Order: sequence, then structure tokens, then C-alpha cells
Amino acid sequence: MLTNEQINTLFVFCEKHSIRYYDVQVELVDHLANAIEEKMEANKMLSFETALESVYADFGTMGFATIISSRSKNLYRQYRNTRWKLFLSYFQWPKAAMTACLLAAFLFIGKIFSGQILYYLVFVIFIFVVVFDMHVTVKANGVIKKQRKKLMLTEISFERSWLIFSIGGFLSGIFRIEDLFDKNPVLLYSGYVAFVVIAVLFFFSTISYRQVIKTTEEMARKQYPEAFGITI
Amino acid sequence: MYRNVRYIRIMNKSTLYKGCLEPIVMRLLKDNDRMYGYQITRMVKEITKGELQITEGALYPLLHKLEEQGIVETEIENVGNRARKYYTLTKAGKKQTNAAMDELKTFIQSLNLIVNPKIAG
Repeated sequence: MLTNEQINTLFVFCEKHSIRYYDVQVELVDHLANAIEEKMEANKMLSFETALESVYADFGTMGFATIISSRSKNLYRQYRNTRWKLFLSYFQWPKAAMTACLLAAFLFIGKIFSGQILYYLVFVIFIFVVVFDMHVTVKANGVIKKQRKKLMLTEISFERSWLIFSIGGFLSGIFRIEDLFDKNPVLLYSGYVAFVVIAVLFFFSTISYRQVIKTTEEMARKQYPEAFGITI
Repeated sequence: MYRNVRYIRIMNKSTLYKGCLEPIVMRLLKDNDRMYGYQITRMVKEITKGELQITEGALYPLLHKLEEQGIVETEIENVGNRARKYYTLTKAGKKQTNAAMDELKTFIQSLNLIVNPKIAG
């Protein structure tokens, strides 16, 4: 059995070989440790350092590179699919009923109010969905900041490169609807409907993202408590 | 001449074996409930008496792919002074393992017909 010091050496070794994420390091350290123990058991004269060199050579010319790239690629795919499935669930039974009611309520409100009031309503919805989205994003960043060790699991699952495009599209939408206010009421109502649909879609994407953050954080805390400074 | 023949033999073995890696790992996980990476490499080597060896560069990307596809799930457990990541087949993974085994058997039978044409006749 390797000593605590030798295990720490293996973590440092992983860092030196560009493995910055603790969750990836854990698996590799265990693999290296098992292989080193076996080699040292078979040859009592073998030093820890020589055994480590020999075990690392078994990873081939690419070293840890293949493992790290496969891990990030698969995690990215896994979380993109999870978020997409969660988003789609709002258009499948039973959540689809709630979506339909929500849209119907907004469309009904649009029929009751007109002119300036409708514009204020659009503005309130806009502020709500954007602030809610920002709150969720800040929360996700907070989880990452709380970590004492970097985790690929949280970093990739919390990634949101499409956010800027969504907000950009959303902003251009609200400015277009403002232009419609001086025009005819039918056009105004159509603009309102388009805005509400985009707002609801955006809101659902934020909720899906929030669900992913919640479940991933729970899983990360359970699997890697050391990364959050919890010792067991 | 001898060198070339030896090279071809090794190359063919690894090429043939590459496509079978996934069902082999799935079958091992089915038989052993839960396993960790190093244990899988050792077991394959032991069972095949060293004929087949899974390299680390092939095993971990495969395990990560199976995790992404929902075929396996993972849990971390502290063993001595280090953490260990165990892989277990999910319910869907168990079903897929059976299907993969059936496919592999059919493939072996087909190969057998080519290798031993007398059987086919």
C-alpha cells in the first residue's frame, strides 16, 4: 500500500501532466497507484519513482491526453443532451399542459390590454426573465467559486456559451416590438405574441439550466466532498 | 521477412479486438456488478491469459463514452488512503449488454463460417 506522501506525489504528477481537474485526477491516481503497487510487489527492489515512470509509459506516447480529451468531450455531450431533454419536457405531457396554460394566459392578457399598458407588460416580462437568468448564472458561478479544487464535472456542465446569443436575440426582439407601438393594433398584438413565445422559451431554457446546476452540484458534493473542502 | 510477418500478426490481432472492446467491458461489468478501471484491465488480461490487453488510452475513453450514453453509472468510494471510482451498469446498460452479447455471438458464428467453410457446407 502506498503512503499518503506517495499518493500526494501522484496528484502532483497528474498536475504536471496537465490534469488540472480533481475529478479526473482521482481516477488516474487510483489507476497509477494500483499499477505501481503491483510492480513494487513483484519486484521488491523497485523504487516508487522508477515504478511510476514505467506505469506512465504504459499510457503510450499520448500520455493522459486521450483520457482528458475523451472525458471533456463526453461530459459536454452528456450535459448538452440532459439540458435539451429537460427543455423538451416542457412540450411533452404532463408539463406541456402547464406550458399551454401559461401561453394561453399571456395571450388572453394581451387581448385585454392594449397600447402603452401592453408595452409595460412586455417590459416587466423582459426584466423578469433576464433577472431570473442572471440570478441562475451567478448562482452557478458561486458553486464553482466555492470549490477548493477544480472539477471538470461542474465546469463543463455549467458552461453556457449560447447565453450571449440568446440575450442578444432577445434584446433585438424587444426593440423591434417598441417600433410597433405606433402602428396598427393587429401588428402590435402579433409582436406581443412573438415576444411572449420567445420569453417563455428563454424562461424554460433557464429553468432547465437551473435543474442541471442543482443536480450536478449535489452529485459533485457527494462524489468529491474534498473539492468543496469537506473532509471525511 | 520474419519481422514483417510478426508485425502483421500483432496488427491484425489488435485491429480485430478493437471492435469487441465495448461488449467485453460491458460483459465484465455485468458479471462483476461493479468494477474500477484498473480492475478491468487486470481481469481481461487474466481471463485471456495475457492474449488480450486493454490499454489505458482505450479503456478510459470507452468508459467515459458509456457513462455519457447512460450505459454505466459511477460512484466514488474511499479505499485506504485514496478515492476509487467504480463503474456499474445501469438498467438500460444491462439490457444493452444482452443485445451486445447476442450481436457478438452472431458475429463470431459468421466469422466461424468464413474461417471454417466446411461447417457452412
